[in-house]
Amino acid sequence: MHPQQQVRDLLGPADPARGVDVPAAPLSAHDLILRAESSASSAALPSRRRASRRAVLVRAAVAAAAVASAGLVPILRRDPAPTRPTQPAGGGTVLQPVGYEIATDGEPAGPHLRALAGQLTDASYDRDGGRYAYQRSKSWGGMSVFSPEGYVASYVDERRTWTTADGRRWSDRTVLDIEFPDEASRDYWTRQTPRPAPSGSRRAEGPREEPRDLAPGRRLASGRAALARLLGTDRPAGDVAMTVYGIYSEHLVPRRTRADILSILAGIRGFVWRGRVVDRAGRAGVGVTADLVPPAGERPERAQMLLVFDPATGELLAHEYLELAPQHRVLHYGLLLEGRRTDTLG
Amino acid sequence: MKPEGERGEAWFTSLYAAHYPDIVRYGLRRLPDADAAAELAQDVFVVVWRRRGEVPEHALPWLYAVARHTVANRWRHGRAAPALLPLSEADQVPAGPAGPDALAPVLDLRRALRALPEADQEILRLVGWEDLSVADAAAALGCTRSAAAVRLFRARRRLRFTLATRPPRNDPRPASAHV
Repeated sequence: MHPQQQVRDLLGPADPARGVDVPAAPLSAHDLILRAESSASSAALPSRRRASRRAVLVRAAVAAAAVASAGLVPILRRDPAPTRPTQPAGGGTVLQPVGYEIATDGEPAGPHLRALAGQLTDASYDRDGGRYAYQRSKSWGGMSVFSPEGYVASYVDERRTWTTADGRRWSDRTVLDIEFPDEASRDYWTRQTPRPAPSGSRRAEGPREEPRDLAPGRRLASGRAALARLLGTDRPAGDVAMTVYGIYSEHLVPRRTRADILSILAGIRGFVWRGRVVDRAGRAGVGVTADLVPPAGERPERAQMLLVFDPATGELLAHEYLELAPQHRVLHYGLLLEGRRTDTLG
Repeated sequence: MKPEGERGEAWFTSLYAAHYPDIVRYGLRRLPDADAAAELAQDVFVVVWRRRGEVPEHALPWLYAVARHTVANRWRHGRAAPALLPLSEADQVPAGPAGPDALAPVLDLRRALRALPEADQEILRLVGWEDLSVADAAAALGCTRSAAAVRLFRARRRLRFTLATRPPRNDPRPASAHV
C-alpha cells in the first residue's frame, strides 16, 4: 500500500475533525473583503517604518555573512569560534554550516572510526557516581515558524534531563533565542515584527517528571547485536546518523558502548571522514558525514548529516542536518553540551 | 501569480465557499475549540484577499501554509498559548458511532502522536488528516518535496516506534467519553 495511504488509514480514526459538520461561516465573503481593506492600511505603516531602520542593520549583516560563509571552508577555520552565527545588533542570527577540515572528496570514515574506537578514554561520567544521569542539550530547527512564502525562523531549545537507572526521567525546557537558516528568512521576519519572538522569555519552570509509560524506551541496548538493531544498520548511513544523535541525546553512553557504536558505524557504507571540526559551541572534535537518501522514487536531495565526536572520549558532541542544494544551509542542529552524574535534581 | 485585477469578489467568494470548511477543520485539529477554528479561517481569508495576486491556482496547500503561519503567530504573541493540539490533549474522541473497544486505540494513537516532535506531528497531520499529497504538504510546510518525503518517512517510523514501545492504557475515561 502507498505510504501516504497507510498514514491516512492509521491516523484517520483519531482525526478530531472527522465527521464534523462545519457550520456556515459567520461572515460573508464581502464582509471579509471589507475587513481586509479596512485593516490593511492601519497595519502597514508602522511595519514599514520599523523595517527602514532595521534594513540598514540587516544589509550590513548580510554583507558580512556573505564574506564569511561562501560555502564550506576547505580547511578548518582557526579562529576560536568559527561557526558562530552572524548577529547584527537588534537583528537575529543567521546560521552558518559548521566548517570541517576535509570539505571535498573525503575518504571513507571506517578506518578512522575503528582507530578512534580502539583508543577511547573515560568520560567524566564513566568514573563518577550519582543517582541521576544529567544531560543538557541545545537544539535548533525543531520548533519552526514558516511564512507562506517559505521563510523560516526557529527557536533554540535548551533541554535538561535527569534520568534514574530504572528509567524515570525529569526534564525541563527553555526556549531561547530565534535563529534563521538564511539571510532572506531573517530579512523577512525582521520586517514582520520588531522581534520575531520574545527572546529567552519562556523560561523553564523547573524539572517535571515525564510520563512513566515512556520509560521502556529509555534503557540503552547493550551488546553489539542489540546496538546494531537499535541503530538500524540495514538502513542508509544518514538515517543511522540520526539514530546515533537520538541515542546520545537520551543516554549517558558508557565507554564500551561508545566504542561499539563507533565500530558499528565503521562498518556502514556511506560515512565520510571530515577530519577536524569545531562545533557550534566552539569545541574541537572530529567529523563524519553521511548523505541523506530520500525514499525511493523521490527526487535526490542534496542533504547531509554531520556528526561531531570528541576525539578522546568518543562522545557525540553535536550533529548538523544540512541542506547542500539548492540552498546551502542548516536545517537542524543539536549540541550535547553537558553530561554527568549527580545526586541533585534541578 | 495573477494580477489582482483579475481576481475580484467573485473569485474570492468562490474560493471562500470551496475552502472555508477545510480551514475550519485544520483549526479544529490544532486549536482549543470551534470558535477559535472559525476565527482562524476568517483570518486566513483576510490574508487571501490582501495577497490575492499570490494565491496559486491550486490554492489549498497555500491556504494551509497561511493557516500554519497564523497559528504560529498567535502562539508567538501568546494570545492562545499553547495553541497547538490542545484538542488532542483533552483526549476527546471523534464524533460518530464508536464502541469502547474502538476508543482505546484512538486515544493511544493520539498520545503517541503528541509524544512526537512537532515537525513530525505536522507532516503526519497534513498527510493523514488534511489528506495532502507529499508535494502539497511540502508547499504547506514551505520546504522541498523531497524534504517533506524524508520528514514523512521519519515521522512514520517514529510513530510506529512510539506505538510499539508505549504499552496501551486501560484508561477509564473512554467509557465516559462522548461517542
